Amino acid sequence: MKREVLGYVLSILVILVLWQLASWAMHWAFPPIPDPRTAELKPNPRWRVLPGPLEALQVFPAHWQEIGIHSLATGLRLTVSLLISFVLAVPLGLSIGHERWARPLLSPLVYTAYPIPKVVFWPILFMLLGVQSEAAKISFIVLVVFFQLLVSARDAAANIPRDYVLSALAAGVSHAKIYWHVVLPGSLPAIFTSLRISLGLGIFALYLAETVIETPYGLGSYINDAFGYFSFEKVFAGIMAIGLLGLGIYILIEILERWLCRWKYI
Amino acid sequence: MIEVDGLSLAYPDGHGARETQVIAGISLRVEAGESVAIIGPSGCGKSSLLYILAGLIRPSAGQVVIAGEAITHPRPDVALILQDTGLLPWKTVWQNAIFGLPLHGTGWLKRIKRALRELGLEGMEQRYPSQLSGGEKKRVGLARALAQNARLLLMDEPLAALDTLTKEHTQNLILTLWKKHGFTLLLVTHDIEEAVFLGQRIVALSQRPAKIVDVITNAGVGEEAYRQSSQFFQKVSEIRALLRS
Repeated sequence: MKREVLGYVLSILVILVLWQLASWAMHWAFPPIPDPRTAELKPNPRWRVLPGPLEALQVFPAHWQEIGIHSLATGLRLTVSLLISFVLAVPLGLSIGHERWARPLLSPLVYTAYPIPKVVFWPILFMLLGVQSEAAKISFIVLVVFFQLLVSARDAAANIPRDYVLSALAAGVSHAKIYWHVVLPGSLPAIFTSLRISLGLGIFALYLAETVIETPYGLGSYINDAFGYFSFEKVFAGIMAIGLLGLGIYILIEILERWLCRWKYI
Repeated sequence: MIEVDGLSLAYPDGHGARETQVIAGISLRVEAGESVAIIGPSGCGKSSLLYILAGLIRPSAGQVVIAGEAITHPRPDVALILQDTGLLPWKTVWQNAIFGLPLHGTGWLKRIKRALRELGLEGMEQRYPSQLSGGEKKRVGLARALAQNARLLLMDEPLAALDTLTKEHTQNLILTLWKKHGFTLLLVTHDIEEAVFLGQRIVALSQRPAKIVDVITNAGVGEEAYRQSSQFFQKVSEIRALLRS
């Protein structure tokens, strides 16, 4: 565990160092501009586009309440969307994968719907649920994440060794309880992997929803507003907040997996 | 007593147009407490026969009667041990041992503890299958059967993946348990020596669709020393010749 924490800290440090180097590279690529009146050298305005990590970090203590509220709104939307997607997609995916009659019947439907870019449903969702409604944003993220989880759960359930199911049936376990004892625990590692991938997809979809539609709270709208008045320190503070939010949820998923799939980590 | 009467199994092939015949009219009678080894070429339908006996699949024709009752579903007094033992990797030794058992009353706890002790698994209850050796996994499967108080033990090539010494040790253990507990043992194997060591009768099956080619009586079964006897080697040679022909 200590090693993993150290790994996370080191990774963050590496990102910050690379970021600082990139920021310095901007100074080198775009040299200072002489003032036409005084001939004094002035900072190049392009430097502001990529501020250093320290400049962005300084935004946090000054605006922690603002960033906190926006992070909370984004975090809640993301968590609720992931939970709804999980509850809807996992049972459906497991039954499509496990039930032999369901596989040929429903798999073509799933694989036809899966590659459709979910953005095409955006106008329909916003028209049905209201342009600024939370329901529309959450439904959009659910739509993006749902198929990812559905396909993973379906494949994981279909690949469970037949011996496990036969052994459970021979032990007298009912067909319904096979799901609880065999299909779900056997598919969980693949579902958790998919959940981690879905997290990235979900953040992307949420960012899109929060920036395109005017939203009072949310890191997407915070970053968008900061872009509006060229406050790039704030833009990067928002990006860092999104990164930290994703990392937090990622760690939660990791903890949950280690608890539910203990047998994999011994 | 087990009565297998005119058992056939066919299932539609991949395209559904034709049927693949797996078992063709097998009839067999196994007395209570007897040990029978079923031997035959790979893919001949041995495992399917065992699954029908376990009540996991329905035959296309014929029937299986165990203790006077036609088999249509798994029975609580019949245990099935599969090639990789069928232990669930996400359950501990204890959870695997009690899996599917009716846990009412007070007797079950004693029964499971006794079974684990008898199989030398005491102290390993909280381990997961990945923490066990191949031989220990087989012993968990056997402990489950004992805890279940199985009167019929069906084993589908249970020792196939073990090294020679562990295999011999586990074969000795199965023999000891069979003698001590008096259950009926039906073992599917492709290992001729295993069949001769454990089967009082050896049923040889043909290529698919499986038919009984011969039933060989093997009176020497019952002692560990049988493995070293000339009678044992003679029987092994006899069956080898039969399967080759």
